[in-house]
Amino acid sequence: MADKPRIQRAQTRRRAATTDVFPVALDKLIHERVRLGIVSALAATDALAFNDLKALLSLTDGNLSVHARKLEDAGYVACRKSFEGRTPRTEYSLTEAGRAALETYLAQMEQIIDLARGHE
Amino acid sequence: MPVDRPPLHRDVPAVAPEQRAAQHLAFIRETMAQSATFTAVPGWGVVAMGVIGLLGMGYDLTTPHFSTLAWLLTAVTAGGVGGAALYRKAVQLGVPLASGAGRKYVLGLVPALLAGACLTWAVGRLPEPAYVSATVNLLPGLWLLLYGVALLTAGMFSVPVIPAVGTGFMALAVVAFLVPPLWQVLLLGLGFGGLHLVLGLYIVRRYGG
Repeated sequence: MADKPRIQRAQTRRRAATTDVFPVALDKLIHERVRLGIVSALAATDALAFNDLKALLSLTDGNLSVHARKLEDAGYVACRKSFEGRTPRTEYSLTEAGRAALETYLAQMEQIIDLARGHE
Repeated sequence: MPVDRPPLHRDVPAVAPEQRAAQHLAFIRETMAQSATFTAVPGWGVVAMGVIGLLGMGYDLTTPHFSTLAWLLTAVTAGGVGGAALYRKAVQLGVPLASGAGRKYVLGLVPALLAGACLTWAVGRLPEPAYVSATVNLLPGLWLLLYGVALLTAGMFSVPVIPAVGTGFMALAVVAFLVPPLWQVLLLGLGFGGLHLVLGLYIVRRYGG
């Protein structure tokens, strides 16, 4: 338990390091790798089932649920629950806000690369 | 102090921002490519292939020389119509056929179709009694089987109904290997005509023509 503050400090340092590396303010919600993967995967297709998304990104149920919920809360992802016979089926799709956020993120990444080329 | 770790320089990023940005872009591109499905399968084009396939039922393979040629002509016509419709729908939807899921779909179709063409050519080179026997007893099942494999493979990168229909073609092939020649012609029509019609109409209804 004594290690908890140390772990929190390390996490804070790691987060700071991730954001400070980039010279532009990024959308932290989709900058995180798992969430970026979810948004990218959904951008290329109409909708993806929970299990397909899980397999595609090699995630656990819990990990995907947590990150998908964050994106859902932000309005980036829409979740549709239905039944196939007696089996529940959860399907995710990208919302307009999510697509716009991804496009902005892509533009920012290209901008960072362009900036670096400009300095060369 | 552990000696197996390099010293930490927290003020110096391990990777330059532009390199990291490039890595992120590559990750996005790869993820999109993996999740993309090819949805430009032409519903009406597949219906047209089905109608042509049904017309092919008129050619009785028990008269091999004429009927094999007629079925090959039917296959080329249906393939041409299907290919043109596929290209047209891909252009309409702005889906590239030369990259991403479109490329995988096309590359999935081609090997099994080429294998079918090669085997048909090999059968055509057999001496007379063997040629007649192979044409009558093997070719219908072989065509159904390899076309089913083509759909199953290409369907991995497309909508789920495509591999399902591919499996249907393969099941018909197994039946074709077991029944007398006249029934095999009916199975050819059922597969290339009936299954194509069902597939095409389903695609029209679910994904558009």
